[in-house]
Amino acid sequence: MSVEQKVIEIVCEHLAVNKEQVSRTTNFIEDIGADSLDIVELIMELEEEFDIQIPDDQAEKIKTVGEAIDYIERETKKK
Amino acid sequence: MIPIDLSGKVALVTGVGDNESFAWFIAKALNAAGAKIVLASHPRMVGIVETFLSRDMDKESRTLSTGGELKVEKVFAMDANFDTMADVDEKTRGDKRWNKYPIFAIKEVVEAVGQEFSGIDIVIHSMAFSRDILKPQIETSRSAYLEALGISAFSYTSLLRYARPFMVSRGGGSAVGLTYIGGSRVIPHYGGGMSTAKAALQLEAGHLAWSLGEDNIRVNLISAGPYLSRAMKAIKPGEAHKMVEYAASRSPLRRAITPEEVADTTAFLCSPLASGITGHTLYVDAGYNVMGG
Repeated sequence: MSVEQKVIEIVCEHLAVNKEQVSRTTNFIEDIGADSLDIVELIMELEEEFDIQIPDDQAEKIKTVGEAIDYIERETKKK
Repeated sequence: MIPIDLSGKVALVTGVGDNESFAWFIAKALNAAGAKIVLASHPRMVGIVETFLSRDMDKESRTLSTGGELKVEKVFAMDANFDTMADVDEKTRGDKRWNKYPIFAIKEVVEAVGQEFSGIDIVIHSMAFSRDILKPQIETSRSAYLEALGISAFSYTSLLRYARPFMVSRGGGSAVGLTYIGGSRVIPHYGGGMSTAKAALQLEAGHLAWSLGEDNIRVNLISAGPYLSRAMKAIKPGEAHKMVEYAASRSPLRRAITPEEVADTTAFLCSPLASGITGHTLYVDAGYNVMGG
């Protein structure tokens, strides 16, 4: 499974939305109603799943599904 | 050397949201002094807290000043909006983020802690919430205002009402809550009813001290200076540091406080060294509160 598919799967499960509602341009807060706690939980789940660290100053910049995917792809390539 | 020895004491610590919360540092200080730590965190934060308690990458944040590692006996889910499970509304009952926990109201959680650990010696209240926190008082809605009062102030009364018999069975105990200077002076950004909630909490602590003093239970507050927790940064992104810097520049010590200072003072208030102190609000704010201009 690609990083993109896995991220979308986690987002859907975590925020209780359907796959059809989620694409790279989906904004967590504006499009699927996530609040700040949802995002903290989501970031931590992504850290666990991909075995990476997303520091707070980076996490603040992640507003869309695509930005999360890009960050994870960059970090996992560094390993 | 005068040691602070809390070995064998059971501490119920509320309000840990992550490893930057004041309550996280308080749990660590009490644990370093020998107390057994039981956490009660908001149902939506339990997963986050358990992650911080277990991940290798967060090990450093669990290190105690004495060199050991923070050990938490158990993490309970507790929503300070509800005094008893009978008070839980339909919407919350139907929400799987809450209903995956069999109990999450104050009474049931405190009783479960008291029974499982054969009493409670220390209660830490570090919970505050207003959904209108960004609005000045003049724009705050009635519902947000009342909710803020309930979660941030009345919950101290509720916690201690249900903890009382378990503290009495231990011969007494100590409670410490957290407040802010916004509860006694006008801090313009501290809106949404939070300022009123802190003002209420401060008088309430005095009443609780009076009611529980006959049971040798001391009730105090710490008024902490501003500190850049993750929660604070989330509330005021890009601006929170300015508040901290302003307070630091206007404080006799010319610096901001650290969460460890709040935690150490909490350990002191819970110790026999503070046996004569109750109903008090102790400022841990680098002296900011004494300034007049």
